[in-house]
Amino acid sequence: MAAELGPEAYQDFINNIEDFSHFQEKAGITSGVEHIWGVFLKDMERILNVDLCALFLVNEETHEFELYGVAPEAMRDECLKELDLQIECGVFSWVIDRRLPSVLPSTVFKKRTALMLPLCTANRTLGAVLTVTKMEKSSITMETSRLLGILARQCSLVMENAMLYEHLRKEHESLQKAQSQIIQTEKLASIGRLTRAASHEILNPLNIISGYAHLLKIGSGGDSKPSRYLNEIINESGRIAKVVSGLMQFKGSDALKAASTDLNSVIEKAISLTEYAAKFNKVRMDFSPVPGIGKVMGDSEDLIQVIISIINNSLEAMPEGGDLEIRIEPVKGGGHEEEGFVKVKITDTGCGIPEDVREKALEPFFSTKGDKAMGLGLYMAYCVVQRCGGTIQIGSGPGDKGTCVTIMLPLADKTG
Amino acid sequence: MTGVDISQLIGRVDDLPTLPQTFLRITQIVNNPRASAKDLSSVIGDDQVLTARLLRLVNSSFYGFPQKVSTVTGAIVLLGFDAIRSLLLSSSVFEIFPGRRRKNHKGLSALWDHALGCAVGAKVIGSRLRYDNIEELFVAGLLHDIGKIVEMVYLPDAFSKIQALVKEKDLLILDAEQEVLGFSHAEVGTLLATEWKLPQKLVRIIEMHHLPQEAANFSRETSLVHFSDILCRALDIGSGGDPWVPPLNDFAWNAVGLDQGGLPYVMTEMTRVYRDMRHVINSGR
Repeated sequence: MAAELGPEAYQDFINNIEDFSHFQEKAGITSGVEHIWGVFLKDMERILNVDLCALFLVNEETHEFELYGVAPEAMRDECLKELDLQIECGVFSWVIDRRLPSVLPSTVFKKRTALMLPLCTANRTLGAVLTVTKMEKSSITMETSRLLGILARQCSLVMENAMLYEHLRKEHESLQKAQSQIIQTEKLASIGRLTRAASHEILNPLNIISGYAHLLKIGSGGDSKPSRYLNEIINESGRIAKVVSGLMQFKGSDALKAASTDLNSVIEKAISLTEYAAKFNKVRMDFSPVPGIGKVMGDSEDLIQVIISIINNSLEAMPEGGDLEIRIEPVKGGGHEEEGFVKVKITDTGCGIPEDVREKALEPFFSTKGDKAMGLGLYMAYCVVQRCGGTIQIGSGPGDKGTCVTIMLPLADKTG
Repeated sequence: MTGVDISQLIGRVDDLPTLPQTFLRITQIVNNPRASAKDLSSVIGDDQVLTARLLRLVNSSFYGFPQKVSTVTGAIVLLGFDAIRSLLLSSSVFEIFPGRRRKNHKGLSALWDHALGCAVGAKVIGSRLRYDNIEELFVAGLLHDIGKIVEMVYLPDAFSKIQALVKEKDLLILDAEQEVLGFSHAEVGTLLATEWKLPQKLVRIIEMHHLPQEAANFSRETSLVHFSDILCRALDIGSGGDPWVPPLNDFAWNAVGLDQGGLPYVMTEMTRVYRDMRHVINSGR
């Protein structure tokens, strides 16, 4: 029989409860499950000596209990066995349903006691903690049993909050990503409209300028100084015309040439045109045609240009040699939006593109190559793909190394 | 007024049934945070009848535990200390009132059936609402009309008059009590519960089970018992002493907060568990 208790025992009990109420300070809303689990284990040790403590979490999709962590890790197998046996005899679901801590004889560890703490909040079952202790079950006190319940409840609250927060964070992130994609597309589209108008306005006066310059040159004849100046004017006017018509070329005609193109042959052609440069850079190119992939919407010449400019970028990113891999695959069942598309993935092992540059890479006149390039290659690729009704995305290669360009092109026989 | 008043009843408090000594010891232990399962089980174990009754309850459909619980210690650690105390209190109150076995006391038997039905109802609703301490709700349901039982056993003449009045004037028993005794069974029940040193929550529930909105801290539990009381009458489980289904208190319905599909579930489950529990309780006699 327990001795009569003085006020100290109650004081202790209250102190313990107070300590557990600090759970939320030790593990906040932004802590991951791992941290919360750590705090829980520490608090648990204060209540009783445990041989094993395991956390099972409910998988939100399958609604099954999955082992999250075991302390000590070496007991993993025994722990899973214990759970299986408790589930088999129906005890586990009974405890979860009752939502209160329960103590039972262990099925795996003879002569030991198993403690099950369901982790649940008012509306949700998050998981359960399974604990095995050497403690004789008859020596478990009222205090222990109450404290276990309080601890489980505190832990559940914090864990639910953390999970909700994490869920919200992910949702927010994907929204942000979608939003920045929309902004990017909108930006490129307005640049396209602007260039279409501007190039027209530039080319007309330019024609007049270079026409008169030619006339003047004929008139001046000889090797005089003014004639040299006129040559400069004609040359530079020619450069302006080249840049502007470069833009014009991809301004995107409103009437799409409803051609269907064999993607295999487009890529093979592009490879054959860049083979020499690849060999020179010691880059190994790898592509195997996929028979029966179907035809895609788009002009073959345009698409060859798209592939070539991406290959060229990759080659430049691998001055010391490397691998370039082109894969095509049909998109199956990836949501309604991606149905009826072919995915082209061009992956290199080059220096990669930093995250902040990736966003701008599709913009016209954006180049990291200095004066060597006009920065129109990828913009052109973007315009062509966009016109075909596809998308182009620049990401990093496997293991965050290199670059992976993904192009989605609609199939020509796509219905609807 | 027929010469009986509540002070007279208080005067006879010494004659009122008392809870068994064992139960008082158990309350003492449960109130001690350092008491172990062993301490509690040794006290219960001393009382063979209590042990048998407890294990029968634990293994009944009240819990539906998938395995057999064969030891008192096992039951304590599985269900927790509070639950055990409530279960013991439940099984004790059935024993302490005489007359349940008397065949001619049909009214008393019906009252007990009503109490059990209300207890089961409170437990079933509590489980549905994921209430933590369903054993306590069970006891509360069981004891809510204990005052009527006291009246029937200790003031049999007055109680006959009350019942006659109910029939004659189509009164609710509550109103008939006022007319005959000047006090109600809720007051008598409160008196007894206080005398028994039951937890404050139980005392309040007994006192306020007709006025749940005034039960302050315990208004949700009181509402739940009030609601279960009315459900029992609607389902015709036992008899509360009058043939009427008293009006359901609006406040109680809102405080209970049962969901749409909850009511049909509760009514079916209540009938099923009640049948089983009645068997469990009666087989122990």
